[in-house]
This record gives sequence, C-alpha cells and structure tokens, in this order.
Amino acid sequence: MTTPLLDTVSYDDKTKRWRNSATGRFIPNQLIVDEMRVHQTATYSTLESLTKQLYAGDISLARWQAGIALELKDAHVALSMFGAGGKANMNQAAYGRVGQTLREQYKFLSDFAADIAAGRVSERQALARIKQYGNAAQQSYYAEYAAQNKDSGKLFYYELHPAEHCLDCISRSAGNPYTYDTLVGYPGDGSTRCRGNDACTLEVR
Amino acid sequence: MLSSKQNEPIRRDFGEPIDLELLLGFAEIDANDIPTALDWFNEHASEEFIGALDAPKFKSK
Repeated sequence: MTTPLLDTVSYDDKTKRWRNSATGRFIPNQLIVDEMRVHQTATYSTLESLTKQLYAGDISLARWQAGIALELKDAHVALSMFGAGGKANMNQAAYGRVGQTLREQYKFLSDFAADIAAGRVSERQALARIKQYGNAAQQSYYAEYAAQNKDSGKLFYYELHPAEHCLDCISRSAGNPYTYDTLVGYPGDGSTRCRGNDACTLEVR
Repeated sequence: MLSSKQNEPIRRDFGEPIDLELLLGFAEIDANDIPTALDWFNEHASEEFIGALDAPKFKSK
C-alpha cells in the first residue's frame, strides 16, 4: 500500500497568495503565518543552542557570533523569499532590503557580544536577549509580503492576536488601514516597544 | 532549568568578539547564499511547504 503524497503549495503571482497546487484552493493567511512562526521557532532553537554552548565554554565568543550571524542570514533570506512568494520573486531591491536588515541585526549582535565579553550578561539574560533576534526574523517575511502587495490596490492592516500587546501595537492597529506608503513598520522590526517579540501580523485585504 | 548561578553575569574570558566591519561582511548576500537559505527553509518546513520557495508558480487549470 502506498501513502498518498500530501499536496504541496505554490504561489499565485496574480492573486499574490499561496495556493494548494493540486486543488487551487487558497491557503488561509493564518496557516502561512503559522508556517512562518515554525521557522522563527527553529531559528531560536539554533540561537539558543549556540548561546548555551558559549556559556558552557564549548565555543568562543567569535565562533558564537559567526554562528549566530550565519543562522540569522539563512533565516532572514529564507523568510524574505517566503514573504515574496518564492525565490523567483526576489529582485535586487528585495535582496537589498534583507541585506540592510541583516546589517542592523549584526550591529545589535556586535553590541551584544561586547556586553558578554565585558561580563555584563548572565546566561539567563543572554538566552532572553538572543530570543529577540530569532523573533525579529519575521520582519523580513513581512517586508517582502508588503512589497509584493504594494501595487495591488489593497490595504494593509496591523492585526492584534491573543497576546500581551504593547501600546505601540495597539496604536498601530487603531490606525488601520494603511497603504504601502503609509506603513509605519513591520512586525518584529524593533520599531515597537515589544521589539522582536511582536505577536501582531500584517495583513492585506 | 537554569540554576541561580546562571542568573549572574559571568566575568570570564570568552575570547575576543569579531570586529564589526568583518561581521557586517556576512550581511552581503551573494548567489551562494540562496541555495543555503532554501535548504534551511526546507529543513524546517512543514511537509506541504517543502520546496515551496523554489516551486513553479501556480497556474490555473
């Protein structure tokens, strides 16, 4: 007996949405966001593991930084492609946006490493701080998701979900809807008080 | 679970951090980074999303 293959998904450039390749049904946005969160969690697991290795004395600070930097690069590039609807939709501007985001993250990482080297960070504090970096990878998804929908004529909504929200997120949501040009940031980009831990979504409709 | 000792900042030799300019060099995205990122995505993806980033675009039948 053979096991039937699961349906796969593919991106529809016309509607700017992911669809079931076999049936053509749209994949609900919540499932796409859930998938993005799966990758966010995977990133954090790797960052957490590297940080534990650092504090256990198994790796040097430089090795830790390089490991974190490369993991973040994979995460941001992959999630930007996911937001864009696949590799084929990534252009020079899109890669430029990811590169700029990575540079910002690496500057934070440099400050973080300096704090560790100076003995200012406990392991518990380091694990809490590195979690922000993993969560911040969502901004690359949203930046390309928004760019793909820039000329769609649709509007953008910051959606609150069951979570503890900071005042910035509540304020953003109260200002719905937005156009691409009036967007005030992407979830997880650090522009809100909840920073990378932002549990909001950005949706187009 | 972390012990109380893990709550305290550690003053020990972690080694030297990487110079910022060198670190920023990692942010340059070249052609080699794309397959690596695709592999990374597929490694963590739910089954139905494996290969999605590199799949042919949806075509109406």
